[in-house]
This record gives sequence, structure tokens and C-alpha cells, in this order.
Amino acid sequence: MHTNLSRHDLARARLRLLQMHFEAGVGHIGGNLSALDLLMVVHHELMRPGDAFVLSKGHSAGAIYVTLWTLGRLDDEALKTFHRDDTLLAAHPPPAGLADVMFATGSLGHGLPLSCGLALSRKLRGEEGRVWCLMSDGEWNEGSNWEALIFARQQGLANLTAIVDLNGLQGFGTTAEVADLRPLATKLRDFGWDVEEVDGHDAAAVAAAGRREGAAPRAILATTTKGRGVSFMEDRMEWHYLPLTADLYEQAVREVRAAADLPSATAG
Amino acid sequence: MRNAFCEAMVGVAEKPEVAFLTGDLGFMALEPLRDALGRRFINAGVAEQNMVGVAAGLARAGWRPWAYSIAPFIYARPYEQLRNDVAMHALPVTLVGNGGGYGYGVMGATHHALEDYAAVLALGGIRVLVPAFDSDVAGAVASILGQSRPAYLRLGLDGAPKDFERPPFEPWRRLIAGEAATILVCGPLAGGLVGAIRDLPQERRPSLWLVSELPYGELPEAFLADVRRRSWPTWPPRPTSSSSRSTWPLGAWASGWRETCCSGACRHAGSRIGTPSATRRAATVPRPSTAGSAASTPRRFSRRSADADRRQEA
Repeated sequence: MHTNLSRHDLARARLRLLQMHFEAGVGHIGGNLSALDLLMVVHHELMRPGDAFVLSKGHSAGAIYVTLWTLGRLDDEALKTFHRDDTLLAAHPPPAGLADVMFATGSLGHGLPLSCGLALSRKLRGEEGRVWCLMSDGEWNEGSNWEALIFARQQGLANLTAIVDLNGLQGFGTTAEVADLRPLATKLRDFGWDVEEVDGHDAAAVAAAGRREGAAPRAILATTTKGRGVSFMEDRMEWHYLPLTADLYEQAVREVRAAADLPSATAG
Repeated sequence: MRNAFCEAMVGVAEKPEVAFLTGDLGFMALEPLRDALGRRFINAGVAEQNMVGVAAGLARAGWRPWAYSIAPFIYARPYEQLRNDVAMHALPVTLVGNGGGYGYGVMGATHHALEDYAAVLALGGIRVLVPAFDSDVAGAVASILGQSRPAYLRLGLDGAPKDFERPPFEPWRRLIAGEAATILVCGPLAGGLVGAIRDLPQERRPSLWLVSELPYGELPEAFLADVRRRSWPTWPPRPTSSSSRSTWPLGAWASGWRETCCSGACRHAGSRIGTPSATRRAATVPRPSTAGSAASTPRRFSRRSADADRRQEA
């Protein structure tokens, strides 16, 4: 198993994400932190020319903006506008204006059908290229995803990979409390998908799972931690919503730096 | 109209960007299209939300996808997909609703879609095409493919008398000329009206207009002229004479609208709508030329399409 992404790369992205949310004074940090490593692996390690990416969990837009920043596709000036009036970088992705964002998402249950359309297009035209769709676990409550599961299998969309950010928390409770779909892997396999379960914060494992291909559409169930990397946020539902205070921001930065052995004086 | 639609789609099947999705409907109707499109004909199953999302994905990749079902199933079930995935991105997806309005009749209330195009138009940026006759469908399909925009094609039942000479598809058409009231109708209802009024004596025969594309932009001058000129027949019938002619508010309303509504700062000042006396006055007092005021009248009915155009350009 191999990845070119170092833990420093991932920590720097995490620090930039925290900074962006702190400066904007907004929440949704927890779900962004759970998704960030997955987004980094998909964009740095897995996507090739001709591939497409759809962020179905639109509330992790911050993490995609930061990932695009790590790729040089967005600059600091752009990130400064996050969540401000007149910005393209809203809390959920915009319908136009960012070349790397294909669809405005934010209402859950839209990304997988859209991804099926992109994958079907490639299949009908005989084009290379894989479609990657990042989903939340809570959004499996939405019926449209189950329609898409059936469709993707029926149409043989082997060029489609759905990655599920299984952080175990949704809007107003744990996924087990609200709508218990465990074991999700079994359910998806029963729909005819190839399913692989990985640690969503193990970049090498995610990359390896992403590189494997088969004859069926693929789902990578990535177990993650909401608020990953910040002790007071981890597995806490309130960090779906809360913004950071100055003190908490300082603590969060210290923790992320320490965990990655980044010197505290160096800029992220 | 399903067969006419199938025929029209077969006619454009050679365009490589055309793809067709059906929500598991079309038995005994769409088989020729399935044969013509091959792999580009996709039965998406009874799953309209996914089907419209897939159509948006295809359109994003450069296709001209069509998604077909019974009218309420194609617009109402996937309404959020239509709103977010299609309209918000101005993607050229065409939803095709068979049996719009009351078209399914005794099939039951769940199959009616009296509100379909009102709901679709409320989203903005979506063209609605409503053929009235089988012979309209090919023109409507061509019109949709002529623009790269979201569209809703509402199919019904051509109910016009067989011998009625159907005019070529246009957004606005006058089907029957008459001297009585002016009737404006949208869609296949026109066919029944043609049968009902075409043999009336000329002085009691309404002028019948048909609008087939919504939002309809500016009202055509010829239609407005008809509205101003025509009056409803009296009921019960009275001897016809120019001095005792009874009128209906519509004519006065239309002329009043052109002359006063939304002009200057007054906003509907001195409403001319309503009372019989006002109506009679409006009908008998010589009207000043409307040329000047017409030029300065804001295009009240074209605002939506202007918005749609801006959205499209953006």
C-alpha cells in the first residue's frame, strides 16, 4: 500500500481548514474534518484525467475548497472569501463558477444519481475515466440513493466509486439512533455492489481501496471520526454546527501540529 | 400524442447526443424509439428521482437527455432534482409528461397534473411546450433541441375534429377567427373548442387563440387587437345592433392594460377592470391611439423570460 501524501500534507490541509473556518466564524467543521483525508486521497492520489468528482455531502464544501487549495486550484485570496457575501465559496458548493465543482449540492441524496449520469455517459461513449462520489452516512436515509444503487448495478456502472464518510453522526443524533443501517456493507453488497471497508483516516488504505477495480460499481465504506484531529471535537455532534472561539482555535492548531510533529513556529 | 412523440423522437435519434430515459413507461408506444436509439434508450425503472438526477449528469457531460413518464410522476416526484440538478444548473434536460392536466381522466386523481406547468414555471429558466395536436409534436421537439435549456414537454390528446386543418407549430396561433369573444387556450383543450365553435355563425363565433409555449413573453399584437375588438355574445341572445352591444370586461381590461397598467409611477392607476359601466364606457368611448403608450409600457409579461435569459447567460 502506497501513498505520496505525507502526514504533513494532511496536517497542513487540516490546519488550513481550521484557519478558514475560524476566520469565517462558521461551523460544519466536524464533518469537514472527517471528510478531509478522503478528499485529499481522491484528488491527490486517485483521480486521473477524464475522471470526475461529485461531492454529495455538500456540507463538506469547506474540505473540498481546501483540497483544491492544496492542488493550487484555489488561492489564499479565494479562501479568504469563504462564507462571506458575494463569495463563490458558500457553505455548500455553487452551481457555477468553480471549474472543479460540477454540481451545487447540499440537499442530500443528489450526488449518487448525478454520478450515475456521469458514469453512464462515459460508458455509452466508451470513454475511460472514473466517477468518484463522496457521500455522508446520514444521507443513506434518502431514498434516491437506493434508487441509484439499483440503477448503477443494472447499468453495469463499473466506472463508479462511491466513498462513504462513515463518521457515525448525523444531524440530530447518531446514525444508530436515528436510522440504523448497520451493517451498511451487507446492504450494499446485496444490491450488487463491490464493497470495501477501510479506515478513512489511513490514506494509504483508502488509496489502495480506490485503485482496485472490478466488474460492478464500487463502494468504499470509510470509517472516520467527526472532528478528526481535534480532541474536543472528535465524535461530538455539536461540532456539526459550532464555530471556533479564539482559544479553541489555538488549542486545535496546537493539537494538529503536535500530532504531525510539525514545529509550532512554522506556518502551515 | 404518444405515437406522434415517438415518431418525432425517432426522427431526431440520429443526433448522437440524444439519450432517452423512461420511468418504465411506453409499452405499445415507444418500442420504435427503443429500436432507433439502442443503448441510448434506457429504462431507468420506477425511480423518477434517480432518473432525473441521471439525466442531469448526462446533460452535464454534453448529452441531450429526455426523461419520460406520466405527467405527475415526471415533474412532482423528482421536483427537487428538477430544481437543484436541472434548473439551478440550466442543464438541457427535457422532462416529458404524458397526459398533462386532466389527460388521464377516469384513470384517477393520482394521474392528473392540473398544476404541472405552473409548478415547473415557478422554478424559472425552464421552457414549457404544450402541443395541442399530434402534428405539433415534431415541431415542439425540434424547438426544444434548438435551444440548450431545460424544458418540460407536456403531452395530451389531440381532440380536434379530423377534418380540421391544423396550423404548423408556433408559440402563438389563431386557430379560428370570429367576431365574438376572444378565447385563449393552452394545449389540447383547443381541439375540443374547435369542434364546439367553428360552426357558429360568425357574429357569435369566438376568436380562438392557442398558446403552446410558456412563459409566453410579450402578448402578440394581433391577439391584443382581437381582445380589444371582440365582445362576448349576449346571453340570452338579444337582437344584434351596434348601439346595444353588450361587452365583457376582458376587452376593456386588455385595452386598459395597454393604456394605463404599469405606465409611469401610477401602477395600475384608475383601474379599468370590472364594473359594467366602466366596461361599456371603455367599449364605446373612442380610444386614443395606443401606439405611444405601447412603446412606453413595460413588458410586464416578458419579465420572466428576460430573467430566464439572464439566468441562461450566467
